[in-house]
Amino acid sequence: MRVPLSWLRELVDVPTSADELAERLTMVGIEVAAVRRVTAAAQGPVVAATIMSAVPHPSNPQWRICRVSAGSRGEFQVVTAATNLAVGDRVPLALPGTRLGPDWTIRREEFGGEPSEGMLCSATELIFGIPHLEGEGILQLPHKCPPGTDVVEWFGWSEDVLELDLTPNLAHCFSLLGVAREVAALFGGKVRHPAVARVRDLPAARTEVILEDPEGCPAYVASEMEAVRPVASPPWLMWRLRTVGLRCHNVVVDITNYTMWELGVPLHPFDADRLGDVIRVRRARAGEELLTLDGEVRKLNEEILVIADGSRPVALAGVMGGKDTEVTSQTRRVLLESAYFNPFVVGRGARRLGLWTEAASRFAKGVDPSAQYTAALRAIELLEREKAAVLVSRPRLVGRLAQPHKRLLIRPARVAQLLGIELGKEEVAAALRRQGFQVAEESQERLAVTVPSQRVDLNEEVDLVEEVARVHGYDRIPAHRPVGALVGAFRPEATRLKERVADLLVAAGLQEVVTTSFMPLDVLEALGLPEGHEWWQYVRVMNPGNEGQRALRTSLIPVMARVLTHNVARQQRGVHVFEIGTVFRPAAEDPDALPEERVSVGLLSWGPIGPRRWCQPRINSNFYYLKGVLEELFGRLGVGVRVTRVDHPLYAPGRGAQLLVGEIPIGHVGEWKPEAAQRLGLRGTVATAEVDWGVILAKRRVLERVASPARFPAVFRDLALLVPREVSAAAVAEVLQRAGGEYLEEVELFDLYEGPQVEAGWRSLAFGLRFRAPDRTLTEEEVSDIVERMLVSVRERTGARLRT
Amino acid sequence: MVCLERDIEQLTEEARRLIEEATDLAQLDAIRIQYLGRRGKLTVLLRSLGQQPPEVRPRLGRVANEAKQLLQRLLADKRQMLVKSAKVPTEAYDVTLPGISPLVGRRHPLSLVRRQMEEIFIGLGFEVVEGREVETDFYNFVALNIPKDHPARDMQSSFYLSEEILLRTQTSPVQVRVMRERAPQVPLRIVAPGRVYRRGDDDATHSPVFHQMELLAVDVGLSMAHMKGVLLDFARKMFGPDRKIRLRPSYFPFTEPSAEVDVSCFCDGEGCRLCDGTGWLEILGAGMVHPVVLRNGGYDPEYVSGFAAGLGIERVAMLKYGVDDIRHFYRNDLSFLACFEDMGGGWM
Repeated sequence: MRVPLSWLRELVDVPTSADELAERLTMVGIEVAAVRRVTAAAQGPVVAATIMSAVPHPSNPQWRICRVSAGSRGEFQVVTAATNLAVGDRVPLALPGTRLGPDWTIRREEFGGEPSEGMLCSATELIFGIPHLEGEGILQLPHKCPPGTDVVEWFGWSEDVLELDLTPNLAHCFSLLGVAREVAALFGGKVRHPAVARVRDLPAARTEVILEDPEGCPAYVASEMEAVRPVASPPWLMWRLRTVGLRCHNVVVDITNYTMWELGVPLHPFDADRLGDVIRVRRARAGEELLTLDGEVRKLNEEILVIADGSRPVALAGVMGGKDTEVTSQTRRVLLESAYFNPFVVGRGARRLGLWTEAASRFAKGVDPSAQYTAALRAIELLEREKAAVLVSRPRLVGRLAQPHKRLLIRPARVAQLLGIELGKEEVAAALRRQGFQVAEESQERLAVTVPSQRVDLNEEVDLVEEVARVHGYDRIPAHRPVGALVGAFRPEATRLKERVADLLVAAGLQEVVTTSFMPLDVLEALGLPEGHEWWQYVRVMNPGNEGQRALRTSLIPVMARVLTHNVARQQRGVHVFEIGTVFRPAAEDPDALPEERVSVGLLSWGPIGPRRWCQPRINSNFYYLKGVLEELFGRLGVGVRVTRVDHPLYAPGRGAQLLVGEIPIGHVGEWKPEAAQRLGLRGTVATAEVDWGVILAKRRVLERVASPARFPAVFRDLALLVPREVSAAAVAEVLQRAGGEYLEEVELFDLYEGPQVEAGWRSLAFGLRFRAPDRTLTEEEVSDIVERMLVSVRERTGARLRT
Repeated sequence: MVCLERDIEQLTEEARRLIEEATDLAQLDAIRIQYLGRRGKLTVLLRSLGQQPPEVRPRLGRVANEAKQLLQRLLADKRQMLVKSAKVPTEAYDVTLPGISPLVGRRHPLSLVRRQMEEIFIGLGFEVVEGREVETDFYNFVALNIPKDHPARDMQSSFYLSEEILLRTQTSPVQVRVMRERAPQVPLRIVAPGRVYRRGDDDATHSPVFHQMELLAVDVGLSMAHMKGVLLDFARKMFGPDRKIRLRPSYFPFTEPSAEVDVSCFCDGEGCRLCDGTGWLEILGAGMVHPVVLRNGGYDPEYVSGFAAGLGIERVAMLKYGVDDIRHFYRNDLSFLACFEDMGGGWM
């Protein structure tokens, strides 16, 4: 919403500068985004000149050669095609060097051999910098504007305009009148209401108005006007339209727009000769169409409220008029509509049509429901004053307008309590009176407040509380710490544990990342996951903003792959990252059920681990690195996890594993198939893992008590076993553990060898064993006996034998 | 008797020689255990003295004790000698070589900032709760006093999954969900961090996915002054002890009165690029919980009141660390992420 200062000053005294006003308005919630200087399009020497002679051009009868005198600026010869000129006229002359637009600079030229030392201009050319309107002609200056005067300066075509950035509740500020009320409240002034036409003794209107949808349109004022002259608007009106950012059409249309800006009530003029005798406000029927003013054919349906005549829709109610009934230069009779339309109905229609016109956005936010008759009279006043049309019958009001005021109750004690300020009854009343409201004592505790119906945002007590706070000033509310019962403020266990998991992964050397919740389907494709894989079973977004927002992520791996490719492109040598985030699955069956949300922990590791070091070689990330991170994580959290081989479509054959708690799969870890990495332009081994965090939360062991440190020394033995290749390391360790009995504290695999030193089909696994008794020092003989038992057991169960 | 005395002498002599020949501390330790340990030769011998005739016991005892003390002394001397003569490494280190640093990762800046914000509010008596990211139209809008076709719906553009289900556009739906769990208990004080989604601009200051933190307090007698007190505490702990805050009237359908809250800029009102010369930085929206929302949550607005605020976590992080593009947080450039460390910098 733009508020030109000169216009505002017509309605209310503004005893301050534009910048100060902007600051004050902002601090009462009417945000002024900017104070802009609006100027006429014409930049440069445009001077008033008197036409001294005008003779036809010898070679082109459409042109005339004029001698003009611009007082002290001298005399000039101008060739013009304008027809509305006579000797003695005072007109604006744009001298060479004047810029009317970015590509429009006036130069000294020759037309048919006759020099032309400038251009005589229309108001449209000077103000908007666009070619004159149909039939507009050269701007005729009053004779009190002396020759040689700078025309732009003389008209005052340069002023400050406030650019308001309004929240939707401030519907009343979408009008100069509403802003003027706020300004009056701020500075204690009085609003000057614009003049309206007096209703004279005229015959009743002939047009019949039928409101078929009283909810959508409860009140309609139709005014019949004749002797219409839809010429170009006078300069003052054009300038106003320029300052608020509207274009000019003809004086009839321009005055309706002007009235909308002034009072906040949208109006619409129809060419009455193109309308039937009856106006019906009704819902459109499916299949109906309307060619609107913007030249689009709109397909209509029952959600859209229309103005129709006897046979067809002629306008989208409150949104836009129809092309066929538009007021043009041919129009001789006008039907002026001033109606109240339901905000929700207009809003829904505008949203469906994607057509947010100035009128539609005002109706949707809420127009003063009492002001339609007055607004019609204001427009009629202006139309008659500008001799643009004459009212020929009494405006017809059909339906009911709201009362111009509404009465609300407020308890001053409630105000004080909600704002935390000591405010008495008198102070509350005074604050509301400053807003221009009438305040009376309703009872001991309550005040009755009469507010104008334009304030559609004020409907209940709490609205008035806010109004008092606004007037009183938010800056005068003190800052107090709340006083109240202490409650155990904490992070819930689930949140705390997420932090713990993240901190453990950080300690393990991984960088946390945060990625988008949308699934990159192209990456999913590149990873080579077959159709039907659960990662493709995603939740669809109905209205994605772009291709990348069609699906919600079902896994963190594809989005983390993006992090990898981005960083590889940025010359990173190693990428070792994790994310803890939500993944989504469609709800089973029921389309109205909310999709399933699960927290997932994703890990991705690629490239060498850690920096290059002078004292030790570094290893490249692989399956075992991520598995180790997970083992550490699960160990710390006390989750018993088993790892078994699995075929996963992302992972290379034999390089993927499933993580199980009991028999429940909780995730996977593996090295990508080489083609997956290649399709993303990556070289080397990419290892990833993903774990369902919910299981960690449910299955973790809570540490309850710990054993005292051991009192007796342990006995250590190392055992190198030859094991058939097909026997897993875990199987051997498990047998050892079981056979070891109560004194075996730990079995740790510390070496693995396959190669020429070992028979084909076999490998050597070396285990470190630790034995300890709780009540004494074990003897060598005891330990040897146990180890012997373990060897027998491991031989029987796995075929392993001692390596000698 | 004499025989036993000789045994002692022999043992002593044997041990003395071994001690003399010992070349390292481990050998010395083994010798100590061999002779003086719990089952050591001299210990065992000393223990057997009890079986000797009483008349020789004093003498034998003295001899044995002398022997024991002698060995202890010899062991101690030799130990000292060995320690002193320990081999001095001949090659000096280049102490300027880089050390062997442990590999430690980092949290994402949004996590660091969120955690710091949570901790400030926990300290002020607020409990952390989490909500769903996919919400119903009811909790995201209707329950928050934003019915269908309300103009406030145009303030935000939503990603819909079906007619009635959408990605939440704000953390505010947590308000009514938690109120419905807890009503009519008071006090209720929560912060709810989480992801929110808005369809539309994707530029330096807008991301379709971002994070908010919702603040909600419901109690008997809460006022806007209390809200201001809590937010001032937050601003000072987050941005520095000299920060001021400023409330400007604004509009949110679920609060009334509503306010935009600005914190004084780091330039202290001088006017800089960050604050666009205004001296103030917009950090959050807040207000007194609207009676409709309290009722939807199961509270009676005649008896309790509440305040709520919504903070943008990215916004706080960008202001705090001078990050100029919100998209940096989601690109996860490792060199960018490596800049962030929880160095406090809060004023807690």
